[in-house]
Amino acid sequence: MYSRIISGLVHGVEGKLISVETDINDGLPMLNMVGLLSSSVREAGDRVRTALRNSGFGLPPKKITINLSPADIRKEGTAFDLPIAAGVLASMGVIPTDKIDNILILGELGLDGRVNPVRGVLPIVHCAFECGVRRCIVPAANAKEAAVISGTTVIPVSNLQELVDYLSGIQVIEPEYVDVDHLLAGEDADYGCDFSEVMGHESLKRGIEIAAAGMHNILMTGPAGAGKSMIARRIPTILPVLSVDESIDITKIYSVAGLMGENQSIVVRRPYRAPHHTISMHALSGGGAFPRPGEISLAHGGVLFLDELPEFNRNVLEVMRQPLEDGEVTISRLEGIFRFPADFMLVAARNPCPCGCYPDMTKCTCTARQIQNYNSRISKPLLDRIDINVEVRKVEYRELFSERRGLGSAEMRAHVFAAQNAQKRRYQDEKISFNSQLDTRLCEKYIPLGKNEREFMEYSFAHMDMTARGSFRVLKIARTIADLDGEEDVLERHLKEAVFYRNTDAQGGL
Amino acid sequence: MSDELLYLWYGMISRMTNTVKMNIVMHYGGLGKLWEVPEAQLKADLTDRQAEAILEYRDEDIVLGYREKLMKSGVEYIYPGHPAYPGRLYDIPDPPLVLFARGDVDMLRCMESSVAVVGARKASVYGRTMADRFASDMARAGVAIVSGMALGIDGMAHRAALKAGGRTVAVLGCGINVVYPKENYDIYHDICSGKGVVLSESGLDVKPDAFRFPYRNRIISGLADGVLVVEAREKSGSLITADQALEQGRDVYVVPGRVTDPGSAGCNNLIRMGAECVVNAGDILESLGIKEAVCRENTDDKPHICGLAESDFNKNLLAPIQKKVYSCVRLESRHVDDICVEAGISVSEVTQILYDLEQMGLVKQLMRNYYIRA
Repeated sequence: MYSRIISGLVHGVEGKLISVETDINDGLPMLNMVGLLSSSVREAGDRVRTALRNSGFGLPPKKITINLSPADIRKEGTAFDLPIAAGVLASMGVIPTDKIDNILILGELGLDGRVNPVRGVLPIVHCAFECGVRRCIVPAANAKEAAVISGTTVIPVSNLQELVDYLSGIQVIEPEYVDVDHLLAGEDADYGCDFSEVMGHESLKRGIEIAAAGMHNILMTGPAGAGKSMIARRIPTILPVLSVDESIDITKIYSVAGLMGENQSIVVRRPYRAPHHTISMHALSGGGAFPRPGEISLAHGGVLFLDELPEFNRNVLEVMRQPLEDGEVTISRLEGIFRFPADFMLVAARNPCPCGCYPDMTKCTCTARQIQNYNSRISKPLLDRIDINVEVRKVEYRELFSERRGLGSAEMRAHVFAAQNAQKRRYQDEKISFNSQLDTRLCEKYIPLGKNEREFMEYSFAHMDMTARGSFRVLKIARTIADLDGEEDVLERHLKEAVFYRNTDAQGGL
Repeated sequence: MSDELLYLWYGMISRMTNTVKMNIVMHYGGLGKLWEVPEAQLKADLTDRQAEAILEYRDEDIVLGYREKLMKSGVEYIYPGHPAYPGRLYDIPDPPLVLFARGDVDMLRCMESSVAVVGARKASVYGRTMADRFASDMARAGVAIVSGMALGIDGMAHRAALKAGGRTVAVLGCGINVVYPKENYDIYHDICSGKGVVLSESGLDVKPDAFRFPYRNRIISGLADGVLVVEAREKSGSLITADQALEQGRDVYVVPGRVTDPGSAGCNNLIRMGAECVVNAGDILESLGIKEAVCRENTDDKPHICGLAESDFNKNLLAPIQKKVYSCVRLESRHVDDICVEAGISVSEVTQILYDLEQMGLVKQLMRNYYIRA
């Protein structure tokens, strides 16, 4: 008898639906699986046969053929165990075939019939939802993740017997439910650190505030011990809130990477990734024979902090050029082209010279050439993609122990939220949510300049040796500054401040 | 062979220093004689490498071909006797017998007064500021600024002179067509386009070998009436220039530094040994006998007018808040955070005001986020 079950796999970070067809017919007793299977899927045959027997279902002495279609996509992963088992049972007549119509099944089987969690549940369920499949059966440990897609009935199962009982109508299983909005709204999280602990650094804190509000890239240059890393660690405390759509996008990536904790339904905070500078190219960009997301994708929607930027391998850094521009990374493999979202806020820190003391001449022991070489490790095209440049200097003793307290995280967060709301209102008809994502066309649409402002831009373009990209970046920063200011239009004063932060040319070089 | 070509031939030999070449020329009794000395005798008298270097280009066709090449790339060459050959070089020991030049060669002829500005490549903000200020004030007073187009003080001095609309001479240690260091391409380009002159005693495409640089310093000091040392460590190449200046009978002016600052130790040593300590361009101009110039008192906010033009900007016209910010910017550079704290204004306002002040020419950003009075 023939049966067909819907299952799915992950391609990049997007799900794809796969039909599992099972046919049991007369012939030599054997289990045959076809459909461009990788070895992990081929092994499913043995797991399914044993799990079925241990759950009390003996296989008939007939020829069983299983086909995973479309047959031209390479099948990876262990999520096909449960749909294959269900397909065999349906073909045996244990499960009524009309009950398995239009239902997505995912899960890995243990030999005793237990259902184990799998990776990439969210992208597959999301894809199924978009294809009109409104019910799914997933491992109990993945149920919370699947339930994030509202409108889908998610049935958690923990063993094979439960699946059979549910589909035959013997047992009723309560669908899993998750209140996403509640999770995202969350109570004020405790980050364990606060910007009020940062003394001095007024200009850097302002730069960080602007960067966070518009998700702009920022580079901090300053001597060792000035507090760059300390400040970077506090950036998560002021990041804009996550929207449901953004959160689903991020959760998909984490789901594919296998980084979702058990019973964790959704990523509720913007990611903060801080890879060490020994990281390889593929670890940063994503890769492998069957590509997995790299650090830049894991930082999607959040912060990628690269400390000691010049210490990174140059090839590794250059990998970020295209993602910084397009917000995604494209990886080509034999199996096809994979696109991982990689729209992150780059926060980078570097020393001004190898010894870290320049421009303090009494301490710096580097030669002019050394300083130059050190600075040239970061290419101009990469620097050009960084919106905000701030020079950090060592805080003096009297500032460190003065009474003067700077802004705290709560205050800065309030500013950032206000700016985020302004952006949300403005971009409600667009696919973007932050100023940093504006492309040339949208720049013209949403950053209209008055006469004064246009003259200002013309003047600074001519006098500051700006690139075309550079001038758009100034506009975008100015847009964010205006949003922080609560101003509808970008005014000259916003542009002036933007120019101060953009300023790649007046470099701390020689 | 005409003298002109003989000098050019002499200049083409770049494997030996000028001193060695001069000794050889003297030994044979002049360039014309050296051209005709038989090969065997050269090989007998000189070391193999010297003989080889001399014989390498000793062929009229090669020299003529080289001249063609010079003309094509817009390089001129001047030699003692040439109308543009700087008169000051006649009275130094070991004068260059040929100088390759690009840019406005005529300026060498009518260079009334000139000062060489030398100093550290890895200059502090203080050193840079001083180089900038001295060079631009002197350039404005009509003094030609001579330097070596190196990083740091040298480059700063050239840029300041160019920006002030003055004239400047860059003496390279490498070939005339080689821009070294590359970072200073802007200076090279500006000078070559007629705002000064680039000189080199090596040939066209000679690499920047280390030995050439201290050697060309004699030309820097030789071209100038005086040498201004801005920032020099205890053992600095700038001190070689100062030594040579003394040998050539030039004045040595020194900008003092802090006693505790190793970057200025060489400068302070020079002062201790009797060099003239200068605090503004006026001191130098005075000793050169130039009166009409705008120069600044270090302690005074306003440009001190001594003779010429009215200050182009009246600070009383500033808005009160601009004045407040301006008063927090000092003569040594300050980080924008310090300015904020002192003025008690938010960063965003301060950055806007600083931008305006920068456009008015009242403050400068020498390094990113560090401001100084212009």
